[in-house]
Amino acid sequence: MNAEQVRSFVMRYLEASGCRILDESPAHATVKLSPEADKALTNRPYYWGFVERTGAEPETVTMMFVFDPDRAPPPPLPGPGAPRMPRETVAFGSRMLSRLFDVVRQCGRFVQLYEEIPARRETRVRRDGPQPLGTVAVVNYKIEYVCDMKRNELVSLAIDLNSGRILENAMARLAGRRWTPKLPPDAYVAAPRLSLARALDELEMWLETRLKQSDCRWAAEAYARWLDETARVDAYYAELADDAVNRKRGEEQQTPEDDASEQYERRKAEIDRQYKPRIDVRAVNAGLFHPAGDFGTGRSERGES
Amino acid sequence: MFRLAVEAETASLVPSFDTMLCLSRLSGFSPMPHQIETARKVLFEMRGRAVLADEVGLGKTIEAGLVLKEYLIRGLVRKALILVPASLVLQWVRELNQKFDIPAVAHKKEYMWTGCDILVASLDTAKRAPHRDIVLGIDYDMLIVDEAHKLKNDRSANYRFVNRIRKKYCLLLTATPVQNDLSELYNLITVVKPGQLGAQDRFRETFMLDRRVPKNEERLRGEIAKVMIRNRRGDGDIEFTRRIVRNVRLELSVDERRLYDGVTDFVRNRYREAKSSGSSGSMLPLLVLQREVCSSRDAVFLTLVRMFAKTPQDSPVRQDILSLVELIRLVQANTKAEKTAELLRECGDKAVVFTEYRATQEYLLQFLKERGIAAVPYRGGMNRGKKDWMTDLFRNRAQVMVATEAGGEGINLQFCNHIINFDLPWNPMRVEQRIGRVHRVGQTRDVYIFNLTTAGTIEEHILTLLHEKINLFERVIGGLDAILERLESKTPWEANLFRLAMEAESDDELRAGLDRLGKAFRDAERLVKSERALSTGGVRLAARSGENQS
Repeated sequence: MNAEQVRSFVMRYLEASGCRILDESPAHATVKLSPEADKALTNRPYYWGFVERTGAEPETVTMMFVFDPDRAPPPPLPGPGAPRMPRETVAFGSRMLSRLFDVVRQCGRFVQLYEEIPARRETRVRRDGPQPLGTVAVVNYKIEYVCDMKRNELVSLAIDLNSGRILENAMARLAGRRWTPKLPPDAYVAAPRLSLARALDELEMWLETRLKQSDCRWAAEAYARWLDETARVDAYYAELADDAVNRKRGEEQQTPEDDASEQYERRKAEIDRQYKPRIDVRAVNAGLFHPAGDFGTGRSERGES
Repeated sequence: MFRLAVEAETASLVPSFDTMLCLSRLSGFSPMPHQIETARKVLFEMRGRAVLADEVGLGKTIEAGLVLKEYLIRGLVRKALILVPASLVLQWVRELNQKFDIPAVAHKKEYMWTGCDILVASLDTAKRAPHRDIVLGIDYDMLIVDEAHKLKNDRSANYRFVNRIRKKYCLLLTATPVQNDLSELYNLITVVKPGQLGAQDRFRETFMLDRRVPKNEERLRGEIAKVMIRNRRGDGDIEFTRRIVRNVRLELSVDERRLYDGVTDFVRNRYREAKSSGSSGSMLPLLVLQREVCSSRDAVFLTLVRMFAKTPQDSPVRQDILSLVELIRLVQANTKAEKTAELLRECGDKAVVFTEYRATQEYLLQFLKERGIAAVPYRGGMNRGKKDWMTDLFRNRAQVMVATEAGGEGINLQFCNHIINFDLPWNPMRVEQRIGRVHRVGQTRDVYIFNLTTAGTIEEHILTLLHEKINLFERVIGGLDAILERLESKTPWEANLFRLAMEAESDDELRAGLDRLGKAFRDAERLVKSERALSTGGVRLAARSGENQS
């Protein structure tokens, strides 16, 4: 993410959460936060508890997001009576941005959206009666390949609950259409043939097949490292155990709290945790989308080709 | 929101196994090339278990921070424990917070062991009950131990404790992996990777000729290089700017000369008396006095007053002291201070003035203030916050910092490149520490060092020893601490010097004595160097094999 992407992300969040933007430049934005954003970002649970219990009029924070510290307006000189406004520098990797990421992940977990029916079709709607909308479940999976290192990727899948077709790059397909949270007038949702649970099973099966076919050299390499490490530890503790036996014949006693076998088990567990390769799959978020017309041959696809 | 969530997730993706992501997420500071290289090696070759054994001042903390940050970004580490000496806890927390944006906290309350994910605690606290059992009950993703030479003895409580902590990744940080004995190194490495060097007895058989002398060196280096990284100041890839030394020789004014001679005579007489009566307890104030007279009359005065209070009522010494105080009263100006002001005006840049004595410091601050030069004090007794504040003031407002303390942690003054040694410590270590405050990683300009000495005093001889015989100022002596340790096996270095100065009947005799000391120093240096070749050779080898692979 470069500075411009960060800015765009923050601005869209502020807009989506209903904040009022007071002053804006490419380097900064001064914002009166909405109650929703204030609760999420300013870390004032007691204040919000108070507001909610007493029903008082909430006073949200006005703050400045700084995207480019060099070009943003300088903070007012500190002194008595000087206005104090919190400033947050948002850059990739900064704490504020990761907080925004978390907030967005929480809020954007599940959606249900309907496609807006374009105006030009309206005449036809009147002629044909209410328009049926399809149902598509979109799930964004995060796949993590973990050993002592880690790589992950995001897979965005969609399944049409009527036809059962599975499509990749669902997010890109969604992008081409206009969505609204309300069911448009003169439209209804056609009852899907597949149940949601069934559809999700299908998606998971699809993923599993794909993962089985994927390149797993990384796992083999990690496994080799695991073997190597295990062999070394085995040899070492075998030797240590011999020593211990020899020593017991002598007068020196091993301390009971930290004998070799216990250490060995611990070390083995550590190695397992460190090197054993595995793949974690997690759904990031999911949504039910009701498109008008066939989703698979959506506008975005035509645009791409 | 739905789309934003996906975007957020995409931005935090880890696209491949072997790139360093942390670099693009650091704002406000950029690590040095050797630090990045070290972090890369730890991550991708040593698989997160390593001994970082860079020399002092090369940024082990930063390397460890980079590694930790990378694992955090990749989500491979959630729970991390950082064990450091108590005095460094806050410094670590600050570095991690400010430089890396890592939400580390200092350990204060018991619930924090489980409640906080990234915790900085002192090793001594952690190993004690009741903390000990809590710590041992937690599966840590990462463990970092600073000043890890405290684990060198495998029978110590420290060693056993750290060895028992359950950890996935483990970094040990130390500037001195080998102090006396090769098995110290063995023990460190065994904490990180048990079995890397085989069992202890086997290690002794295969690799050790003697406590200090290794055998099968080539193989040992190879093994060590798999788990240890040691960057040295002398290594080519770490660029240091030059040190430019100017010795400023000053003539004492008549009054100052009289005071100097008076004090020197006084000290010599006391020294002889003390020696003949066999009491060595009163030596220290004498040593201090002799050194102070080269600094300022204020410093001498304070010590004399203290001495006066201690001597019995009827002692003839009291009269001597009083007459010295008379001499002090006659001294009106301080030649060195005048020169300092002149130097400061000439260079017109930020400068640190170092002195050994509080009284001199006070005097200098007053003196500079009268001449309209903005100066801030810095001393060991200040608390952390005040030290930071003074450093900030120096950076932003004042031209001069007058410091009494150079050792200890925490003042990094890379933004300044002039040092004025108002008086000289006799101990080379302290001199090196002073210069090291300014001449360190991150200094972009050549460093100017001014040594003020007064002609015909003991100070002049000390300067000759430190500068010409040891060549302390112009180059960085690796392993100075080890050299001194070796030299000081019998008597401390400073006491040695003092005896020389007191017992020499003539200047020539003194000079010969100093020659001997200088030679002893160089001998010790040679010895230490050959020892160090072992551990550093390992690093070079690692670097070479790294190149072959890539």
